Amino acid sequence: MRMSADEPEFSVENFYKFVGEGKLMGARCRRCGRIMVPPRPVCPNCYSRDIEWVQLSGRGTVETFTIVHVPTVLLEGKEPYAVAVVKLDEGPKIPGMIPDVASPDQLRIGDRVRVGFDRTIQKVPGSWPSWPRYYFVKE
Amino acid sequence: MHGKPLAAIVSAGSTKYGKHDGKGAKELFAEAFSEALHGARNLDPKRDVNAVFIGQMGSEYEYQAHSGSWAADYAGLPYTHAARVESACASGSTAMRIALTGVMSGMYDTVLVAGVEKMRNRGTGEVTLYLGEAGDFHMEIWNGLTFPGLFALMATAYMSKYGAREEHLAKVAVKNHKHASMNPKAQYPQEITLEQALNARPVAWPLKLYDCSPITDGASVAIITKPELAKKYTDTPVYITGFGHSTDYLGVYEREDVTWLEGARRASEAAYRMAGIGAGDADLFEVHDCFTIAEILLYEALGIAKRGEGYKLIDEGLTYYDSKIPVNVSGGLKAKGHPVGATGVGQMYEIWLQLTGSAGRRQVKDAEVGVTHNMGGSGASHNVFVIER
Repeated sequence: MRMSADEPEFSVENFYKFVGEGKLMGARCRRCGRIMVPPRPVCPNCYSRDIEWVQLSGRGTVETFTIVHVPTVLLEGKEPYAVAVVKLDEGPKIPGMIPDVASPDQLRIGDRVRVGFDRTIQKVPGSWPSWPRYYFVKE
Repeated sequence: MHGKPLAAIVSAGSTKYGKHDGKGAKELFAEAFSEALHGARNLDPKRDVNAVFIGQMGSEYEYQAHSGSWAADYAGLPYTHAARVESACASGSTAMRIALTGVMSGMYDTVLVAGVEKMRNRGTGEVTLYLGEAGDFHMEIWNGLTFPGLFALMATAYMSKYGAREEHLAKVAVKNHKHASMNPKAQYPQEITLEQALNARPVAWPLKLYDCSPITDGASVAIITKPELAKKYTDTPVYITGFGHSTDYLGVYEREDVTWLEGARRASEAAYRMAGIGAGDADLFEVHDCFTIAEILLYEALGIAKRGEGYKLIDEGLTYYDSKIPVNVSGGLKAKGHPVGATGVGQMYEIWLQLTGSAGRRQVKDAEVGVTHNMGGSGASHNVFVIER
């Protein structure tokens, strides 16, 4: 049984709700210690539902990256921009835009980055999702 | 034959891959079905076919889901067993896997396996969004990635780790365009030069235009039956003797090593084991080169090259149709085209042509064992088949 009944649901939807509040949040399994980003209601490691929200430092290291020149309709007009896989200091890896980087000579694998937040609700075709977006900047 | 026959492919058919104005998924399917039907002797679908499985990734393009039912109806079988099968870009081979297990279980004698995708009625931005559904949409696509972008993440890491260069990626494109120039059903049969590939505009650095498979309309169909019934329908059946499948983490960011397609390794090892072969026993491979880096990573995961050395294989030209280990003789997804849901069945169509000696100018001499590898999304599902004659 989940013991933390007062916590918001451990969901992707609430992950972005926290992004809108300027927080990068993960879920930690209280039984085995696994940190899940985005949060999940059931730990895939030990199947526990005894889970808590934890705020992440938002600092990490670039593991790999690309410079996107042909975006989806969600980001048309923002190109070119970098997207990296960032290994957070707490362990989990997440993808994130680095909007200030537009060319491969501006970034290297191993570079340190920290999270930032674009709290404006993004325009999408259709009525969902209406999420804000986190991103990374070079330290 | 190395393995025990699990099912026979008695006929197959395919539309040309490309831009088909005025034709939707339904008409494309009908065209491929008709070719497959005419290639089989004494096959009466209304009497002999027990089920229809059709691979198709997206229902957004034409606002039409429920494709099992319309495909069955277009095949003249309004009351049969059917389903649309979705496993992203591996939908076609997943339809084959389900059909095959149906035949192996004894549930069905003969099954129509199809794959289809109509994509060119939409703009590039829309298609890029829809294809993004095959990745982790909520984390990857929402945060700016695209399909070329996801494979670019693998390419950047691979080049950094093993010392491969952009020209190695480009050489895959040059080879597959050369192969496509001999395939009348290929979308881009133009040969290209290394300079052309290297100087093309970036799509998702380090991937450029010629590193990416195109947006394609097309359909492919295969008819499979129990091995003991095969000779009733053709004198030249080919047999599926092994298959393997594995999922992997949906998101590229979740994988421990982004340069390694662990699901492909597991799927191919299972398929080889079932067929009683090693990678070295195959006469040709059709692999999922949605992007040039994917073909190089697949050389490694499928056991054709050692880990970290896949780029050397293309550098030495060893995977041309007339070389040691022919890979993507059809032109691959890269140049033959990639109508997403059709691709897995299209790969089998090519192996069927090759093993029956019907591949024309690109025929691999004395081909007896062919391997197909079809990948879903950015490597989150893999199907591998061993086909023999």
